[in-house]
Amino acid sequence: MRLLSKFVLRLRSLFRRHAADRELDDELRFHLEHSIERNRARGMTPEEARRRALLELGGVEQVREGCRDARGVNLLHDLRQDLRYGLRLLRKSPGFAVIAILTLALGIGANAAIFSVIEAVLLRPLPYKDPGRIVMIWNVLPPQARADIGLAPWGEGMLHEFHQAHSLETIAAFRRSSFNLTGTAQPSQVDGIRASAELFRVLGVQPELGHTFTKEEDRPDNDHYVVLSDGLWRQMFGGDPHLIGKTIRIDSEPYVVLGVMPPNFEFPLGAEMPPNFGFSAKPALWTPLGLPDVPRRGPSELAVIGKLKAGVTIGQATADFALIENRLERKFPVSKGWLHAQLVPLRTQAVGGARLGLLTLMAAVVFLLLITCANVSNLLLVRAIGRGQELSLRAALGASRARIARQLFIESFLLALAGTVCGIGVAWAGLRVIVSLAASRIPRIAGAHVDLTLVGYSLLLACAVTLLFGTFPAWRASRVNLADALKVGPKSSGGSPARRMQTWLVVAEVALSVVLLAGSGLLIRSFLRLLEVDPGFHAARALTFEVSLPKQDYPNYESMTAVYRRIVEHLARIPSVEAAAIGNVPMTGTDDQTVFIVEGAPPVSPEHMPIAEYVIAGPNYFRSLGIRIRKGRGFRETDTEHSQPVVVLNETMAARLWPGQDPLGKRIRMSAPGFPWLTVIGVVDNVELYSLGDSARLEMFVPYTQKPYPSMRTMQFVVRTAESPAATLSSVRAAVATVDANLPVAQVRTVREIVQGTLTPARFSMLLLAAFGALALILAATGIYGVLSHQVAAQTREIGIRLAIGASPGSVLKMEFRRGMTLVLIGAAAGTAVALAVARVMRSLLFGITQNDPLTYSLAVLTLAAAAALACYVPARRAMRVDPMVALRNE
Amino acid sequence: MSKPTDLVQGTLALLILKTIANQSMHGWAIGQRIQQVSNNVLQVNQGALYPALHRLEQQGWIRAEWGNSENNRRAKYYSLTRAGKRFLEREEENWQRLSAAIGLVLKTV
Repeated sequence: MRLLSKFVLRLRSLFRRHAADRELDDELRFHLEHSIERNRARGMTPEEARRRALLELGGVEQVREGCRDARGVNLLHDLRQDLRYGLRLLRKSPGFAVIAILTLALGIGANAAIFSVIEAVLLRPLPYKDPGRIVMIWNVLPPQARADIGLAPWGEGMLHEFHQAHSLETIAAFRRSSFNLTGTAQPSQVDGIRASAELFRVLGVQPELGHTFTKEEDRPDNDHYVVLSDGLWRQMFGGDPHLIGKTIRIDSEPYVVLGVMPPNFEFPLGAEMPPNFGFSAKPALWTPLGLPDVPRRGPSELAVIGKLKAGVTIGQATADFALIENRLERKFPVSKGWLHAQLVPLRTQAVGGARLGLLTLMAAVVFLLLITCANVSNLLLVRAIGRGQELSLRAALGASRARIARQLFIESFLLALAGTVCGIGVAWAGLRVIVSLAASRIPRIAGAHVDLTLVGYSLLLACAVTLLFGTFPAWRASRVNLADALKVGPKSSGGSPARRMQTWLVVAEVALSVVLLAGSGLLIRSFLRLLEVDPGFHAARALTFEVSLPKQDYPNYESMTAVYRRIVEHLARIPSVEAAAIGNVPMTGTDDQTVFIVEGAPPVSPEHMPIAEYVIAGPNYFRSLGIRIRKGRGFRETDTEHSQPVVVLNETMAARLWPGQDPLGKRIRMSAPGFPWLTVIGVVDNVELYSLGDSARLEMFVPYTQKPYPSMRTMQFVVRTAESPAATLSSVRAAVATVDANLPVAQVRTVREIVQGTLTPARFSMLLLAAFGALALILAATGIYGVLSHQVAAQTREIGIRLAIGASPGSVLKMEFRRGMTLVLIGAAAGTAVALAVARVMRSLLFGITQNDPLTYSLAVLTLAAAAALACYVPARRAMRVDPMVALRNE
Repeated sequence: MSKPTDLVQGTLALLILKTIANQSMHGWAIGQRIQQVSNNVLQVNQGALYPALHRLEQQGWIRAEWGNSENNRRAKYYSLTRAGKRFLEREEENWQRLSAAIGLVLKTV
């Protein structure tokens, strides 16, 4: 009750300030009247009585203030006064305000942007039910089999076995597939997923409309059902809610639309999955996998996902799978060493390879923030020293230390507020750039945006920075004693503790900048090295596209090869086309891997069998891609399904299998029984099949007419053009339409685009870190300039004396310059040491240079030294120009 | 300009509370009464009186009402609240204990 009445009273005091003031006046008047009466009763004259009464009261205004203080009314009033005063002060020194606000904006904005990215990619919970229990189950290749391919798919047989795993509640499989949407205005091809019905149950998601397919709708004889993604539904079908239950034509066959998924459901995201599985960026639709009850033999591209039973750990599940593997290896000895399930929690999977890059960025942006703090510290320190006189005057007039501290806090808060507002702008712009750079390779980064949480975080950060690194040191350093500061005389430069702090701050700034510059230098040089890599093929003036053949129109092998042959013929006839071919295009993730046996080599146990990249090619393939044939020949029209099975190897494979011998005429074959021996008819240069700078792999090329697997339903084509590829596109479409007007030409890209695309992650890290390095450089230079300017200004008198007694201006310049550069060099040395220690973390991000590359570090230090020299030079020159007469007179 | 020390502030508050314990009074009367009852030993600093009254009101130990004085002028009358009464009792006890202790020390040493 007491609290309430206290609160009410305070509120009353606040709002009815005038009424309360009048009451107070009445009360005091009453008092004075009595006092005067008493005095008169003692015999004083009216004037004397009044004078005495006032004296006794002790000054009406002071009593009034005392009462107001007691009411606590002053708090709000004082705050308002402080705010207005603070604003006025900032307006009077616009230079300081602008620099401080910009510095804060840069540091805070960069931090906010990166924090938003990290939250979206690493921290935000996945939009599935019980995401902690969802695991991907991958097949890890044995170590000698170049496991940097990573993870391999499962066959249907394995999936069948996995259903027996006790540790899993549900298990589902899926793979990518291309679908031709026919029957719409223009036939188009979309990328989608074939999944078993349990997929939606594992992920625990409900469709937005309708429902997903059930097990009955997931049978080989009854699988023409489709669930659309929200994007496809809106784009192709106008968001028609009555589409559920209707049929659409996919691959020239009717599919019943069962449902539409919500907009945030995009499983599986291409950026989350291993690249060799070839998943597209986002699936457009899901259809049933339609696995038969009796699993078919042979490879398939299945990815497997499962949900652990409640309470089961990954360790337990892994042990469970190990048991299954053991049992299978005993049953099928040939598979020994080739079955190794690795369970990866979806959260880890979903981050992709982005974690290291993002954490590096976070570290970089923290460095940037530290530099910001150092700058803000310096700025506020200098300013506080300059205000020493003002603050002591206020103290002398009766302001308590708390009051002065509150004033400083409010000024810092104003700076922080302004810095945050600008920082949000910086973050917004930065996020747009970042998302556009990285959207395809870093999963879920598009979800990073500026929202209220981010604004709050930024404000908090800004306040923390300003208060911790600005006000506290400034407050301590400005603890002047009254007499000293009020003296009209030579102002001290704030005393040695302040000076020392400034010096250390500059050294720290320089060191941090060197670290950032060195880091970005490493990434830049690494990127440049990547660009120089010869991919083994000619990326210029080559166009690729994909065609999918619907089963209904092309039911068998012969019809497929026939139509492909005709397409290539028509393509070759286009005037601007130099060469055209069918085949897997490098770096698109469409090639396969296979185990092989070498004729005449000693038998090898299954777990030691070598793996090679398996690339489909057609006649003129090597010419179309600009791949140099070193020995023998490429494929010709005469290499058909009826002629001798042939193969072309890459340089590395030929040298590895038959070192020193002529590989032509030798034979290899795929390890599974039933596959024919392939005769080597040619050797080509090594081709980068995954990304630039990848390590050399064994590569074998097989004619598309002779390959027994996998499905030929979707094939890529490559066309080398005399002019720009874009100009040829319409002719290409026309050529394909001539063969079959219903076949959409899909995935049209230039080979150069594809190659550039693989550089996206490296480019992303490089550009961002370089941006931070540049910012750090600017901030450090500004900081050095500020500190040195201030020191020169503070020592004007000494410099004046020196000049007056005969020192040359040149020597003054040299002295000041040397003083500044000494600090810079100390900082640079410290920074280099730190950078060398820290760079080890970046090793996996680098290509072609070591993390200790001396040239990079030298360049970083030189760049910084150059900027710093400029920053030192200007104040030093000002020192040189000091007019001794003016300086000495200006006490 | 220094603020009154805590001891002085607290003592004045105690005196005020005691004075109005049984009767509500206005500021002038409170000052006069304290002086009177203490045989003019305690001269109340008038400048501190009113801030003290307002502070006590803010803290909720006393409440204020406007009324008519003896000679029909408007005056602000202060009286003790229930919480104030309890506070006064506690403070009186403390004060007794304190002065007794000081007395002991002065006697024995």
